[in-house]
Amino acid sequence: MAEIIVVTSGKGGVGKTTSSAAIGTGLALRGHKTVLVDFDVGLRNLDLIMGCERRVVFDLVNVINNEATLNQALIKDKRTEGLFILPASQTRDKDALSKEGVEKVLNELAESFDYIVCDSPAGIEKGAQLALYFADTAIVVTNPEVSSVRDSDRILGVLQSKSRKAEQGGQIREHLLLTRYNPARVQAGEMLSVDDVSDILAIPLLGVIPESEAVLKASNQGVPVVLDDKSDAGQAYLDAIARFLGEDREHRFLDVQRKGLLSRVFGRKG
Amino acid sequence: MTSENLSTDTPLFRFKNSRVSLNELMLLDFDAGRLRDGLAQHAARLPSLFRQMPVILNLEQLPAEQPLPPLAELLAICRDSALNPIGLKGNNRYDSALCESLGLADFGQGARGDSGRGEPVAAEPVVAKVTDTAVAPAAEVATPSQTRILTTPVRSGQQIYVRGGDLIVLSSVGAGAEVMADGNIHIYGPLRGRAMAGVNGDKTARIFCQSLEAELISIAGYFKACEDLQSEHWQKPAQAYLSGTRLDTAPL
Repeated sequence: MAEIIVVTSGKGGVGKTTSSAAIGTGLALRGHKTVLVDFDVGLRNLDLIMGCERRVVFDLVNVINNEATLNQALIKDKRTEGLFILPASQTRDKDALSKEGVEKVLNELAESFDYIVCDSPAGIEKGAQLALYFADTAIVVTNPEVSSVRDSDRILGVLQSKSRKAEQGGQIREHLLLTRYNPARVQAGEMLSVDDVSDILAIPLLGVIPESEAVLKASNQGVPVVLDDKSDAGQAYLDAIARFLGEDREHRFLDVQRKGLLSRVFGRKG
Repeated sequence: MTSENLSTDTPLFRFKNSRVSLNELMLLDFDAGRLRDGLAQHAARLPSLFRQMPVILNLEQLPAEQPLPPLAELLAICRDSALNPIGLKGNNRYDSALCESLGLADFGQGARGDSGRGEPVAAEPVVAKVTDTAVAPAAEVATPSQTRILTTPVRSGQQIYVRGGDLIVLSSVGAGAEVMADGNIHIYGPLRGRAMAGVNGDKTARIFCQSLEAELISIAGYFKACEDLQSEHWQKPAQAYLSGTRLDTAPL
């Protein structure tokens, strides 16, 4: 039986889609057959980040409406073995999704995949609720910033009350993924620290992704950032995926990098 | 005050004596417009409390020399604010047949002279004035063991209300969350949201927390917002209680 993971946050622009792409790719790299499902109907982004936007023919809404089969809509990733993408529709809106339709698609996916990674839209309305309803596990993406933390707290409340697991008396496994972390700004008191955020949200910390130029570059090139394993963000995501799979990895990139003599002399790039 | 029938195996029902805590709406005077506005204000402030809350209309304090408010209109005003009037107390002027036809029970004459109908109503109604200065709806003495214990954090946007008892939170109360209880509130973690104790008017209720970082705390309707809470107890283990009409905080 597949594990359904929802990547959610409440607030927009915190890195849900980047994280979904990175986590999905990372799981596939570790040998798990994985599908990335874009629930952000109307604001299709995941296919761009995954670099497969030109191969989208059918989408999630088509499958729900029986206008296409799942196999027609699934896009096989060319770079990573065992990774598929189910894109969202650009021309429809969230009302095109129904609980029954989503359940049907997820059940069908569950037959052939190990992990189903659902990229949730922002907000707490219908689209976001449908994305998280069937989840077994939630990865809550948060920026070290008060409004993002507040919204994550809100979405945790929704996870605990409006999900299928909650309705059946169970509980979704919750993980915190802190993105766009800048240790220098934390030290300067301009950003919340890991400890502050963990203290407020009180859920286990899956990983801390440093603010990185590699993320923007990866998005624009349509290459998930985990494939750039030289980058700090790529390594941080790989660590987070290892932790997700039960490995014990120490958290990195939490402190300000000490600058060596050469970089102090030649550049101020931080 | 109510007889509850519980089904068992062989007999179809039996009567069980039960004491439930009920609220009274004590009418001090009648002005349809003001009453409607006043109740609507309360309902907006404490929506979870007003959700079809059963109330007894207490008519004892209505000036005897004034004409009686039309009963149907009175009920309509209450129902519009999501109150569910179930009976009258201190009624000696409405026709009993009229009350019966409207489905209202007679709760006797209350504290002044119980007509002895065998209704075990606790006769200590706390007055709720339906005026602009009102602080909270009326309360009766709560039966014990209504306490609710929460072991997980109360998240932003969540609202918890414990009717007739204490609330114990073994975790944190997040910013944007709201916890309310008729009794005391104990929070064994930081209180960052809103906490309202003694919602039903119990002025002896207290709020305890491991770290006072609240947006608002309130006891029996007397409240202090975040700005006024920035004392030496801020972000420290603290309790809040009423001294007269002033809400005080003290270290734990």
